[in-house]
Amino acid sequence: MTEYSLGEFEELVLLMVGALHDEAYGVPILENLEKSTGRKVNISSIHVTLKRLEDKGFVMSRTGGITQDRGGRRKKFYTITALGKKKIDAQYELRNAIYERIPKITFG
Amino acid sequence: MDIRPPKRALNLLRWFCREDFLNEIEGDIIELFEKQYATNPNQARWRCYWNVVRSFRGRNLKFRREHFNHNLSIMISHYLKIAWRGIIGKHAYSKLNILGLAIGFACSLLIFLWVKDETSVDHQHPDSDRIFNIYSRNVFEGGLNARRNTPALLPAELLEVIPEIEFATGFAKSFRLSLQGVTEETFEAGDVILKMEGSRGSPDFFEVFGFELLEGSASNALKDAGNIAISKKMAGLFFGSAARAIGQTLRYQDSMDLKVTAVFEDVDKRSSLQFDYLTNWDYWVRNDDFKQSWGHFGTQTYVKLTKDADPELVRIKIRDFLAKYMEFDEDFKIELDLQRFEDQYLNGNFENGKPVAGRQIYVNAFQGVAAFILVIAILNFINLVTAASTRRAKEIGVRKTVGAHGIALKAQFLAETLLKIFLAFALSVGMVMAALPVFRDLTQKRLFLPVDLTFWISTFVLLLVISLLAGAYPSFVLSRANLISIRTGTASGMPKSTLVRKGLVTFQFSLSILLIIATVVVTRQTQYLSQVDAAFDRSNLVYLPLEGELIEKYDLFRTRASSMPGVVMVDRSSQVPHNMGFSGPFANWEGKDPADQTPITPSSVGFDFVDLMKLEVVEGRGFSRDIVSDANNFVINETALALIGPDAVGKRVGLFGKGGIVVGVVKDFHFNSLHTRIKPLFLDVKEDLNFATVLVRLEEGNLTEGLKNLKEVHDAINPGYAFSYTFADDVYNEMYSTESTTARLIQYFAALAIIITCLGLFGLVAHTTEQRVKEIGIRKVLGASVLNILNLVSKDFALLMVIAAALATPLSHRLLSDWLSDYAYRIDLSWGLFGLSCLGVILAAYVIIWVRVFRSAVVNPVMSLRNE
Repeated sequence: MTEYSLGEFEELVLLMVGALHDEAYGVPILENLEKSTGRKVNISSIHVTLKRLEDKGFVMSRTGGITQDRGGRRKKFYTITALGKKKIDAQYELRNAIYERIPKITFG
Repeated sequence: MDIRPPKRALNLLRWFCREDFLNEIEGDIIELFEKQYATNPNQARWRCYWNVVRSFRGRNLKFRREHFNHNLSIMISHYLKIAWRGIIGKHAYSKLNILGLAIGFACSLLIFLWVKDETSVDHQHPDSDRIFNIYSRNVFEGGLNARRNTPALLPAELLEVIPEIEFATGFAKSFRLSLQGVTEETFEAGDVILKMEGSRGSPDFFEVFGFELLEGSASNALKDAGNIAISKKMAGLFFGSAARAIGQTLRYQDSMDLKVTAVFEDVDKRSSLQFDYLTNWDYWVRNDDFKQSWGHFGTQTYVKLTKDADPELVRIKIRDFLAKYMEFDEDFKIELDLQRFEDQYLNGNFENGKPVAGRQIYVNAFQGVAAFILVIAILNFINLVTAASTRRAKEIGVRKTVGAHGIALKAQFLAETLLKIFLAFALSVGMVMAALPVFRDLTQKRLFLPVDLTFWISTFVLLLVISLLAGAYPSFVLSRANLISIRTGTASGMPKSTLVRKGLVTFQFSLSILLIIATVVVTRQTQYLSQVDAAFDRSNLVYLPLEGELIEKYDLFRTRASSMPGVVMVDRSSQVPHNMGFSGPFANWEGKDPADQTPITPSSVGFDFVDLMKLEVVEGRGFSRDIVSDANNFVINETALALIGPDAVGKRVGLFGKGGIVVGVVKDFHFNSLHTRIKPLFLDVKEDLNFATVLVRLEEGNLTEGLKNLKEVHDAINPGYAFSYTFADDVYNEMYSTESTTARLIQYFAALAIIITCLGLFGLVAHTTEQRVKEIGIRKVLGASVLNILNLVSKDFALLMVIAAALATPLSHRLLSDWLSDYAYRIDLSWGLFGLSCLGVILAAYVIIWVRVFRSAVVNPVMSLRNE
């Protein structure tokens, strides 16, 4: 596959996009990530990461409908692409494969 | 209640964030704010700011290049296509705009060509930085007085004494005391006998200056006494070609046989030294005792310094050079100084003993004018473009809705400006080519459009810069314009910029008025000069130089020539009648106050002078050949009469060792240019003087025959000299050639200023009427007539016109009376003149305003009020 390997944060964002199905946009991704990881993230990091992912073809975006809240600004929804899904799968497999090789030790 | 997120934060975001990300980022930030506000209002605001700041990341910025289309050539051709359509779409308006700019460019281009030519004069010699002119400075109690004249012995002496001087030469075109300016000498070879203009040169001449030699070499061109170097033209005239001329003999002034030792390429117009031949310097000096003295200051000296010589050192060395050869005291001495030869042409005048700018002033002035015209043309251009903005507002609105970005929109208008400017330039080149013949004639120069690459490249760059500057303002205005107000046509326009525009138009109008007044005054003064009654009849009068055998056989010539058909009368004058430059306190008369130093003009004439010149005798009589004592008597003019006293006739007068009585007084006539007041004139008779101008009055209508017969008589008596003549009125008019050139120049400038001003005014009027479309519509509905509308708009401009006139009138009065004060005889500056000119310009302005307003005023109000 592609030589490019996802960074840690990128992977998290990509996973979250996948997890939120069609309803992934800036704010829910942020909130869910903060809840899951327990760390504080700035919305700008999310935006930039999403753009990067989109440039790489792992996600695609569409503009949402006109709403009243958010000051009338439309939402940009992201969905994971087939390529993105493949990437996550490959990453997951790789992690797992190496993980399996670790001898069953318990650490106290 | 609506919780509003902090406005400042959002504005900041809007400023740097690219528009296609704005929705998403801004929306998210707002949503976060709203959510946080519920729990912690203060923190929410703070968070909001923080989020905006954090969003300032490379990827989000507006200003990045990736923002644009990557494919450059497609983008360029796209913009050009749009720009071209933009221009074609607004047909008439674009043509006007481009035309105005083209005129401005054309003028600047023409002036540039002239300046380039002027500054290249005398720059063509190799080692130009080592060539200097030596000039002399009289130092006396009254002050310092410098002129280019130096002793004829100076070049050779300088060469010997000063080691830093590698080569030295003199330069002197022969001059006759009476016919100033005519410096021709006769040459004869075989059957060809002609008069040519030239000078003498030292053996070093061609080493100092780099005039190209076709035959012969620089070192032996003028080595020996009997040598002469001639131009290609002269060689052709006498011997057929340069190659055939070398080694041949030319008879000079019927007195010397000279050998042609060199032929040089015809001297280019761009040299201040003009000559068709050079004879050997030493030979010329040796031939004349006077020239051998150090008191003779009639020639010029040029030197070339050695390669490492320091001019300042040379300056110190030569300063008191003359003290060794002349006697000076504390009250009076003559110093020498040097000036770079390159600088001589443009800085040729002397003031207080130092060279000062002469023509350089004109060069600078014209450069200023060119820059000025360019600036005005560009400002007009900007004016017109921004004025059109409201009309284009709908188009802009549509573009924005479809998604044109800020920078892209600006780029589009910039492209349009660029295209217009380049089109204007192309047009101006065409104009210049068409105007070149007239311009060449006007400036007496051979000017060509430059073909060298540096010129065109720098012009290209200049045009780009102009486009950016000129395009920046309008494109900003156009793209910033508020969408809503554009579409509904209620744009108010920015009051501040209208003021600037109005100021510009007023200024242009002042300038036009000033130029019109100047044109009228200069033209009238020039006409006056040519028509003023010089009080002697200039028509059918020719001048002949007194030379060769004519000097001794003058009387024979006179009797024979005047008996020929076509010739009415022959006489002579030691000073040429239209320009007697020699004057001083030379005369003495009975009852003269010894302290009186009034300069008088003397001229020795023939017995028939008064008759030939058709002068009016107001007291006494003219000279008479039959009265023997008249050989010692005098005739004076009215100004001299005023000087001597009312009973002058009969008084004794002494002049140049001659004593006699005044026998008559003639009416004042102009024997100098009209710049000076008529001086007292003293005429006496000396028909055997060895210098004079021969005057011949020819029969009206029979000129060709008269001239033919004159030539016959001349050639029989004086065969060694070529027959040549000049018409008195030609020479007279030449005196005022600067005036007529100035008149023409001012006329052209005035026409130009008017055209550019009218364009500017037109643009301004168009702008204001467009803005007030609705207002006009409403007024019409309420019953205003077309006339009322016209008045409404022109009222605004009336004030501008008045201001323009008020500014222009006193300024022009001051300038023109300054110029006129140079003339002793001039027209009056009447207020009627000023009034009429102002009125004329104002009338023209009104016509333009009305024409433009009319178009808007007759529009059906339904049309303008429809889109409410």
